[in-house]
Amino acid sequence: MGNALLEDRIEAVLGTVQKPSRYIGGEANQVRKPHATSLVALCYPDAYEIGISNQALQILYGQVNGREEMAAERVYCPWPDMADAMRRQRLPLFTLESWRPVREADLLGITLQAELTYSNVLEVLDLAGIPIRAADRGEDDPIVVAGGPSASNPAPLAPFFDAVFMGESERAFDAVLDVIASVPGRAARLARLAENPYLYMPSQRRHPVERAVYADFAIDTHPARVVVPYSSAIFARASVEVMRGCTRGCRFCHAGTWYRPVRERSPDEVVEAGLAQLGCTGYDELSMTSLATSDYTGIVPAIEKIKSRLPTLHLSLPSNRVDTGPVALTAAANARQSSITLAPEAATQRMRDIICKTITDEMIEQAIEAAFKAGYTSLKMYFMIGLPRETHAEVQGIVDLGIKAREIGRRVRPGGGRFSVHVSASNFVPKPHTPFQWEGMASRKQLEAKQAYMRRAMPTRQIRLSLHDLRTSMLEGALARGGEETADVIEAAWRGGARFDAWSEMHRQDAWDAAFAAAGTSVDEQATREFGEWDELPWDHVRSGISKEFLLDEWGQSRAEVATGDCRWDGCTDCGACFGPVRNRLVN
Amino acid sequence: MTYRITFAVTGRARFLSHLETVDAMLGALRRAGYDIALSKGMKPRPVISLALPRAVGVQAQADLADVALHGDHDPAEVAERLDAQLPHGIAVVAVEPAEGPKAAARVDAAEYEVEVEEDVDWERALRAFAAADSCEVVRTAPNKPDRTVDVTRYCSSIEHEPGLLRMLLRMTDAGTARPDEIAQAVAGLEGRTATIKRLVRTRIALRPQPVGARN
Repeated sequence: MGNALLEDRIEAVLGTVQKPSRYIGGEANQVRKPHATSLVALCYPDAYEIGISNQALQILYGQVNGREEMAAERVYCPWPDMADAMRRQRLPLFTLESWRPVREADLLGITLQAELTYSNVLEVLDLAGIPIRAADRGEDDPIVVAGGPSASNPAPLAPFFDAVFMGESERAFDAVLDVIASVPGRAARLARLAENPYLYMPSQRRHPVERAVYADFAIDTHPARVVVPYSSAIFARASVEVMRGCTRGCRFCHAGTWYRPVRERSPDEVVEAGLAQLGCTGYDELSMTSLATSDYTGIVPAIEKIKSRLPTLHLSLPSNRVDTGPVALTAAANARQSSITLAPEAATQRMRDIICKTITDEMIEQAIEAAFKAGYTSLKMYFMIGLPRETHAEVQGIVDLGIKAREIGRRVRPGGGRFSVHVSASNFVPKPHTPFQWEGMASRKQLEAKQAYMRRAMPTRQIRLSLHDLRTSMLEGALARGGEETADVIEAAWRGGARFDAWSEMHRQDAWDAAFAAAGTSVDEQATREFGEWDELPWDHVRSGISKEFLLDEWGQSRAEVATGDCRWDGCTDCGACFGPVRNRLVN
Repeated sequence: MTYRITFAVTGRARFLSHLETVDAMLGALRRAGYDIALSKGMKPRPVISLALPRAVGVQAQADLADVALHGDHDPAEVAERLDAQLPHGIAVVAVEPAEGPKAAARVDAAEYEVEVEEDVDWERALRAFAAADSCEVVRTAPNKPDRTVDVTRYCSSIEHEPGLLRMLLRMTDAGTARPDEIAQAVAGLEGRTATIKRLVRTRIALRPQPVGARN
């Protein structure tokens, strides 16, 4: 089929769907390389407005396009109205840049950022006309590679991928691209890729695979010319990654083990990279990103230097530690914002010791007070329910802290002005490679009861409570620690109509229930499944660098209700992440 | 200083919404290094207004945007630098200093080309349309009751050449008609449904500025 004909057919369909700008490409800083000899399609398996905001894919986009002979082109999961229209019109899934069929790519890279995008992976492959199971692919099909944090348990999607890349792409993924560039033919490429220590080849069944760590964390890989999305995107601002990794050691946190050790960039690098991206994008806001930006030891000089260069710039500091210092920093960085977010995660000291969130009641109250004194009119607090060994006291604690925050607000808000407290409680989902990987999720009945209690007990005046959809949380729990048998369930659910599972209006509980039932189990049984410490885990062959002994110790400490220190300040915890040049690197 | 930007929207970019077009214009101006003036008030917003919103899917050859920039700039240079930063498919046609009321307040008419199939006897239908006292279409919208509109009131002129209807539609205080509505109304007089292949807005006509008018 000629490309011009394909374009006409795509345009005809675009006239009939919602938000057609999701599919047109052409944004500022998009790269087109018509003379490239290989095509790498990069996919975020969710809607455009979600996927375009992902930083990892922007890094990869620059990494692939930085090579003379290669073009990176983007693809997202078409919204159901578009997907259905494409099937009716027999249109293949196409890349945004050149509207080429995805199936013509040499490599299709799919980032797995969340379990609730798994059914969309199958949707993308199917729309592209690529056999969903790797075993059924032929010489003309692209090599389909997964990456991203959720790939750290490759088992549930294993049969659908030719290879799964573990860890950070900078530098290490170049070896994969080298093979695509220099070796012709799918079979020969796969044979060469099998030699890569960071690639898991599902066809070779549970062989050991290492996690790639970008030890240098050099500034030259920080993207400046990022694609500027059309206005529908969830985030429209420049960002500079100031630090990677976190050693706070929160026991529920996947990123807290998967991205160890901590690597900081110097304030000068941060300032230059931030200004460069601002210049290339035209944004008026810069976000200093990391897993916990207030822990970045160069934060004060970095803010001062940026502010001296661009006094009116709006700086945002997400993910801050609950303490007065970070609150003051956040307020100083951005005078425009009227709301601030704190994440105590748990409301009682006991539970914070269990999850290793090393903050005290006093720190939380002082942070709330500092936020209201700084003039914020909206305070948002994040918590989790359903954590291991949770009692009524912990749930009551969240209610009490919501009320306490309101009291503090009423007391200290200058002039007694209007304000609101927003309490958000998500449902804890145990994740692989964390000290809680052996724990089961709380049962649906327990979580329902806890949610019902909070709705009843939380006052509504000046307090807004948001609770997460149990259907999506339980499904996330069932998929996150699934084994290879879960793949059949995912395929059956997708065939039964599941896609866009994270979107409440699209969630198909019936399709998932039927799929799990056909496998002789249920969403709830899988989500609440506990592992014993001697059990083999589906992701045991993935060497994150963090030793299983460390995770077991931490699990034990959690049961003893003892928090562990942060190795940046309190001494090495012997987690195993550091070796050779890979170690914590702080600028101060 | 306020500048009037005449710009074209073609190709895939015609699938951008009105809001996305505005944002694309603002982003491109910022990347081009211009400092966009902000409105006064509690929530300062960039001072930009497009003369007429453009429906998703409609091409434009000469749409108009008024934008206030800090400082005095050579319009030709604004045109060149802005054009270099706009997303693929949006192009600057001209930039000139704008005086008096903004274009959005002075829209008199819009001219369209509607690409159609020749499966209607358009010449005969247009003669019937010209002779008709009124020609009603039913306008449907989600969450609103259907409305019957006499489109002859809004159509100043319409002519046919092979594959194309060219029409001038008046913007009135009481409203206007869409080019596809006109095409369907005309085809309806022949008992047919028009097959519309493409809609192009070729021009936005502004009312002359009253002498001595000020902002």
